[in-house]
Amino acid sequence: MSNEPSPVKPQSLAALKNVAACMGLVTRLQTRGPHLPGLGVFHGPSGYGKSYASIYAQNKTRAIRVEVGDSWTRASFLKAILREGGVQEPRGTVANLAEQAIMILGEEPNRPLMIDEADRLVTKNMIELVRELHEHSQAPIVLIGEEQLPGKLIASERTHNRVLEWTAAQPCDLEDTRKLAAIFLGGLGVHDEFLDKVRRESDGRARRIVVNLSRIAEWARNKGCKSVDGYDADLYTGTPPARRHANQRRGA
Amino acid sequence: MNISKRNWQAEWDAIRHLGSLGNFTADAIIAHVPQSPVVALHTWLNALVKLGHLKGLYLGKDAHSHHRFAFHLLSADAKAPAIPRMQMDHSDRARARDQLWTTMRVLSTFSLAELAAVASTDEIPISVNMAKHYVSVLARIDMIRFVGAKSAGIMRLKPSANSGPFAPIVRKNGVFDRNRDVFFAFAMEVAA
Repeated sequence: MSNEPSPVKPQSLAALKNVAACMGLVTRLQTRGPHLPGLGVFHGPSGYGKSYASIYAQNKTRAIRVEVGDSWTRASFLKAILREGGVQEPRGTVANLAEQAIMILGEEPNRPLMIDEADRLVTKNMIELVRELHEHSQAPIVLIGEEQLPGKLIASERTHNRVLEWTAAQPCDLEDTRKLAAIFLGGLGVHDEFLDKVRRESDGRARRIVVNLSRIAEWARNKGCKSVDGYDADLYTGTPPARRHANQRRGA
Repeated sequence: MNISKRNWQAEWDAIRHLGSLGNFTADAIIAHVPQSPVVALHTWLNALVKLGHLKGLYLGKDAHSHHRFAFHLLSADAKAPAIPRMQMDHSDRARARDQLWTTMRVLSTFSLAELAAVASTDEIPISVNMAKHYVSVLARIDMIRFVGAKSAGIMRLKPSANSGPFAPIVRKNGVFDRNRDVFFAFAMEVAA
């Protein structure tokens, strides 16, 4: 036991805006009227915290989740859904696999199916399969993808028409950054100006902010500081280091 | 030890009374509530410090080299504070384990703090210690690897260990993978 109490109360990401938005989307799909479609789209640029948000929703609702791979076929997509649904070794033709997936999804009609990297389903002309699964199982299905996903879905009119709600992930604002700092900086003192700098340098991307806050916390631990105001190291921006000039290489 | 089954209100009442008089020790609480289980009481006091209800004041070591603390009351609550981890029953622990497993399967790499925060929900909060325990057990059977220098604390679930949706169950002498129906025994540690 330390003589200085440390604030170690476990905290979740529930208060982040993107987490609340994703959870709201899933809840609205689950509680929709019987005549309404049950597809939802959660889209936004890479790093905005879609994964964090969808993991929270997955853990809250016991959703089945698959992440579409670049090499996937219809069979591998359906087998992945079945494996995540608890079938150890799915077998059969694509039609058989689709039938089994519909049965599993239909068993618990409130249990959502989350499909990450759903852009790839559109590119590979597999999105109609999602519509088929939804039509027959009535399970809520959340398509997660990059910011172009809504535009790509327009090409498949029948699927596009079954989207009940579109939710765009937003970059972290100062309030989100404060909440992340409360989790990852613990009891370290920090000013809003510094947090806003971290947010700007991280381009509002949740994962970069977390990387930076973790580095800052480590820096404070190593220096024995109780405040991070003196942080003087670089912040992670995701930008690769610039090429050094010849005179720099020579140590000039 | 199942602390959740115990009603801590009598001990909390004693803490509030003693706290109104000044700083106090665990022995003073036991003097007020003699039926208090000593080990569980110390665990509970530790949790109350960490949650900010009490402040711990280090008094040094006693004759048996045990660290001794006095406590200062910071909370004004009349009701004994809830301690999330201690209130976890078996099903909550299973959910916490499922949440950790789900999270490490989705995140390509993670630190313990990130894993605990992302895996936590409002219903089942997960502490860094809880995440550390589960991760260290999985690391013992080589399911988890460090990415880069160990000191950086960044880990990943090995792709070959990502066997399916059901979280591996920790047993006394190993880990049971429900997805493959396989039991991984801990390697015997040979004393040097």
